[in-house]
Amino acid sequence: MYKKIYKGEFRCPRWMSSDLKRFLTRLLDTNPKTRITIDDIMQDPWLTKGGLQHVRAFPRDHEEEDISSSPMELEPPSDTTPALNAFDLISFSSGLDLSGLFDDSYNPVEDGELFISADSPEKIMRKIQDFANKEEMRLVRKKKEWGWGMELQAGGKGNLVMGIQLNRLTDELVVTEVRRRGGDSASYDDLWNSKLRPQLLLIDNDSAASA
Amino acid sequence: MYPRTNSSSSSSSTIGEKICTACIPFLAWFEASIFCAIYCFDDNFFTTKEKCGYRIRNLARLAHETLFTVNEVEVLYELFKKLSSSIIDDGLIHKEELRLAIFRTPYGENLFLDRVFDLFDEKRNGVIGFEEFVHALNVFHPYTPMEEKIDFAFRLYDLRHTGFIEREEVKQMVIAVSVESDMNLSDEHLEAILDNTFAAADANQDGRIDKDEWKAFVLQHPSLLKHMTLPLLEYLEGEGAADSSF
Repeated sequence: MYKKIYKGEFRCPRWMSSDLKRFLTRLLDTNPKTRITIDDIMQDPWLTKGGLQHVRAFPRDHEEEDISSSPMELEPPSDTTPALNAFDLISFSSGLDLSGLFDDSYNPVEDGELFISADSPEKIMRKIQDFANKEEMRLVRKKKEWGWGMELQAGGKGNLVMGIQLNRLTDELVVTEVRRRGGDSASYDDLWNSKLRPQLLLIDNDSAASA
Repeated sequence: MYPRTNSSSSSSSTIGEKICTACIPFLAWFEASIFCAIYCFDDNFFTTKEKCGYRIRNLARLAHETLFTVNEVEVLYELFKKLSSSIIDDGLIHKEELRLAIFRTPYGENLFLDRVFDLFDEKRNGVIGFEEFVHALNVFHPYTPMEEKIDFAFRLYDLRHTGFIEREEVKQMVIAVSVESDMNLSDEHLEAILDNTFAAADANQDGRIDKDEWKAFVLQHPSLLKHMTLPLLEYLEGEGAADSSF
């Protein structure tokens, strides 16, 4: 394959459009003098088709908000946010997650957890914020169409990223999904099992006691 | 008169040369079969099962029937070999081997793994062959039409194959997932969840979800099918793939 890379020999799959094929040919030009430049990349028809004015280096499909430094704005999920249903719960099952077939390092059982509580999302968010501050993690909140998701990022601890998703399940219940999205299992395990999880479960007991 | 030497030279070859000439085609055949055998034995999986030509035709046919290219089918084949030999080395994936691949342990019972295994096992013979493996994974391809994914998910959740997803079946599945995740779901909460779900999904309120109701429901809640797509299927690449096309 290295010979082909060196000579710039490649074939494109049939589903690629001709614009894309042309773009790839310009990118993979073996002659650095004639190869496409960054400015040209921004102007390329395949990228700019459909009115894309500006290509961001790390495109996100939704807006991100870094709120770790500002005071917590605890907006509850808007009324238009659809609640989860039984099938959402079912789809969380690791038995239905086939990515483990391909990725040896991914272990759905260890890396993700779901729990249901009769707590308000505000309470849960507050606990998460406290935890994030204590562990010096950056809380990045993503506004998605469904649910209320965020990520905790710990740059220091081997780039650990913990994805947290809150969703309403019924009028009383909220389901929280916590998943390892980056970093190694061991540090995730330490943070989640020994530190955050007990805190979140604690809310459950508190509300049950006061109910 | 012709000299005597002429008669012997006019036959144009000696006995030795005649033998060599006769042997050459056999030697060529022998050499070719050695090379073929080396090629076949290079992949010892197939020496006991199938012939080389059959294998190549099969890969091309599978590529034609699915969204995978021949190279990607080859990559899937490498994965299949690994999975199918993990516990019982017979070129077929048994349930424990699938369980091992997904849960990292062959032990335990999981309702959803059972359902997935059943759906992969098209021929219903208790094992997953390579063709069944590729056909099933094709449903998870990012470019596979939503219709196929919706259908696969419906069959997945129709535990008793009645053509409907009954409330009892949904209850069973929610209990299974709550046990799996160590959630403590009270009966009251469980019924509330089911009530909400069936209010939304069961259009004719007959206590069960039929194919059309399921389809309409999923189109309103596309996140329900998020596990039906494996993005990495678009980027299959073998380790040290010598000849992968771009």
